[in-house]
Amino acid sequence: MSSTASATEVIKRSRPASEGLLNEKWDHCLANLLVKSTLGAGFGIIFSVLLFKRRAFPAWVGLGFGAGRGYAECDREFKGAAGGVRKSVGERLQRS
Amino acid sequence: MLRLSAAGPARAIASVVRYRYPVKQLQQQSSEVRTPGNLPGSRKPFAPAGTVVGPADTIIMSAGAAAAPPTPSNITLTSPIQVPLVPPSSSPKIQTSPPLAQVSKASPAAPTPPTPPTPSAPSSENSVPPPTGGKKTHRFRNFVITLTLLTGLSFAGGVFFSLKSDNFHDFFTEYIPFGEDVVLYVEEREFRRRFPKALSRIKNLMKPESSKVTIPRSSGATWKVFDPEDGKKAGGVGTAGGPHISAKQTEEQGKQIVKGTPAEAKVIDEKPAPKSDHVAKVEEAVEKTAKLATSAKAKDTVLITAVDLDSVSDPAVQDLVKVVNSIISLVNHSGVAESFDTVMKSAKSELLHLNNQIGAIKSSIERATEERLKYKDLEFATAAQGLLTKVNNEVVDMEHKLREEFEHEREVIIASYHERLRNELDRSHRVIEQRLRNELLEQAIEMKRKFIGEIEERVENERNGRLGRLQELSDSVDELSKLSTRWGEIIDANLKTQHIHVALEAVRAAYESPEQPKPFLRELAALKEVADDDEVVRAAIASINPHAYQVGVSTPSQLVDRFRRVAEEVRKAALLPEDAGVAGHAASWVLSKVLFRKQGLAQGDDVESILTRTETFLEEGDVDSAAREMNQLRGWARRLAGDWLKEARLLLEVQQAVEVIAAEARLQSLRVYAQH
Repeated sequence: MSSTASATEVIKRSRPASEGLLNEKWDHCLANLLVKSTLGAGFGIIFSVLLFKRRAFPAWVGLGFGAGRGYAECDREFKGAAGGVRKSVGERLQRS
Repeated sequence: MLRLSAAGPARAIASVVRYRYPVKQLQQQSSEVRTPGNLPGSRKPFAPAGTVVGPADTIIMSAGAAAAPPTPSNITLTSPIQVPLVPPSSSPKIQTSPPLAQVSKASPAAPTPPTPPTPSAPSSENSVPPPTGGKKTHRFRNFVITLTLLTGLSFAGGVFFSLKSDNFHDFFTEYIPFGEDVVLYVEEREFRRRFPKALSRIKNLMKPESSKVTIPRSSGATWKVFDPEDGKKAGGVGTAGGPHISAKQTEEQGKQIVKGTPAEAKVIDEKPAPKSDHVAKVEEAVEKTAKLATSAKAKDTVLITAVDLDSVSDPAVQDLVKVVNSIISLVNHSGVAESFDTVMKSAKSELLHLNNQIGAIKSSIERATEERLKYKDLEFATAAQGLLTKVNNEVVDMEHKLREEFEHEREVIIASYHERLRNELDRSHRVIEQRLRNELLEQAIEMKRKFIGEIEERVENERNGRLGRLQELSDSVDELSKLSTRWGEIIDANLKTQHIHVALEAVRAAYESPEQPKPFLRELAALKEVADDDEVVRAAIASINPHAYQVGVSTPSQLVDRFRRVAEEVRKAALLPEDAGVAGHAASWVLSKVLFRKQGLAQGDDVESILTRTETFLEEGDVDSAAREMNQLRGWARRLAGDWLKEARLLLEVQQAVEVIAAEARLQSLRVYAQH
């Protein structure tokens, strides 16, 4: 009995519930966006200090690049995971 | 000694050279002035060298003629010709002196040393011009002197070394002019110094005799094939123990040579004669001497005539005659023949008598032997005759005996053959009888078997008639038992169906337990056990997902609870476009907040309507319909509801299987009743 219960626990942990899929994706996206934009802003600040005599625009440009990058990755993730986007994924969804 | 003599001149030369250098440093005049006083000054420090050289010079002058021949004549060391040239009476001291002179003469350096310091010396052989010129002449002279000195030194060294090592000896004698001569001479000196006696002995032997030794023409190796007669003649040297075979012989020969007369000297060539010959020779010699004696002493002495026997048959007598003759000759020689005359005469007569007697004895013995021989011959002839007759008799006897034996043997063979034939006949008779008896026995056995078979048949028939009724009885009993077993089967089937029902109830209770999902594996296993041979039950159980009975299925209340959560998420994704990105999701999420909720069994295919209908079905407890509604979802909404759908399906599967099994169980019980 206990062994079977542990087996179910393992199965549940390894595969999240289907209704939590989107929420998980949102979490990932936001975290990624934050990290990327922070990195871009940091690089921009460094460049502004080193090369551009402490002008403000390099920091903004860096931030923009980082945020854009995060957004693009997020978008791709959502699109790729959606049903019917790719043939194989669609088929799998049809089956399940 | 020799080495000393060789080193002596060299040392003298060295001293002279050493002396000459200071002289060269001095001025010409002073040297000229000093030259007269040079002689005593030079001789004083090197007195021994001077003394050695002095006598050598004198000997050169005196023995110049004597020493000249040996050096040019290239004779080997052992050549004995050189020996007689040296005076035999010369003492060893004098013998050693010539080598000194010769060595000094052989090395051209030796004569040079005395000359340079004494330019006024009378030595004519020196080619160096007197130092009359200035420096130039000096230089030339010095060069020549050093050259000669060096040459001499090297030559002397070469000689010395060639005595030491064989290789160098070969080289030296081969390539250096006069090297061989000098080395040979030195070696010879050495040899003579070591063995003075050997040389003198050879000399003594050879001196008087050398001219008289004649070697015959046929001696030594020739191209001719060996001739026995030749061999006999020349065997003295070649075959019968020549000097090369035994040393003793040579000694004897030498003695003979020393002693011998010219007549006996020829013995070397001839083979030693047989004894009789030798004796005859001796006799001859004796006669000769006797003749000589008679010729010499005929005038004053009466000679005793030698014994002369015309017929001497016995060798002993012969010897005796010889002895007597020798005695007679001795007596004749001695010159007192008269006194011995009578004795001799008596001896002679005695001898004659002896001879006659011996002759008589011999003749008598011969006659006796002849008679004996004749007698023996006769005897042997008679014996041979007797032997022949005996042999003939024996042969005849043998023949008779053999024939008898042959006859006897034949009879025996015939008898044995007859016996064998009889045996063979007996055996064949016996075999035939045996066969006949066997056939009889077989016939008897067969008849017996037939009889038994007949009896058995009759007994069987009798028995069957009685056993027929018993068979009928047992058949009826069997029928009864069959009937009873059929009833038993019916009861068993009923029991089984009841068991199935019980197990089914257990399974249903297990999966419909309201608290939480729990595995019902054991219940299902029991059900399978009870309905072991039922295909329908087996198929129904196989249709259930293993996950369901291993983990358990969620209850309907749990499904409703989960549906509420799933519905929230699905509503969020309800407004998504076909291929939505982040913006689409965000828009859908925001807009879903403002959507109106439907109620009851709403019409329409949109997500909101489906969700509402499902909720209504669930509230009514119709899980099957709810699952059907949810299955209509598409895209993200279906994806989000996937897990819920799976759970619902599991529950439905289990429910269906259980219903099927229940129907089967009912059917089975009905079937059992229908059968009977």
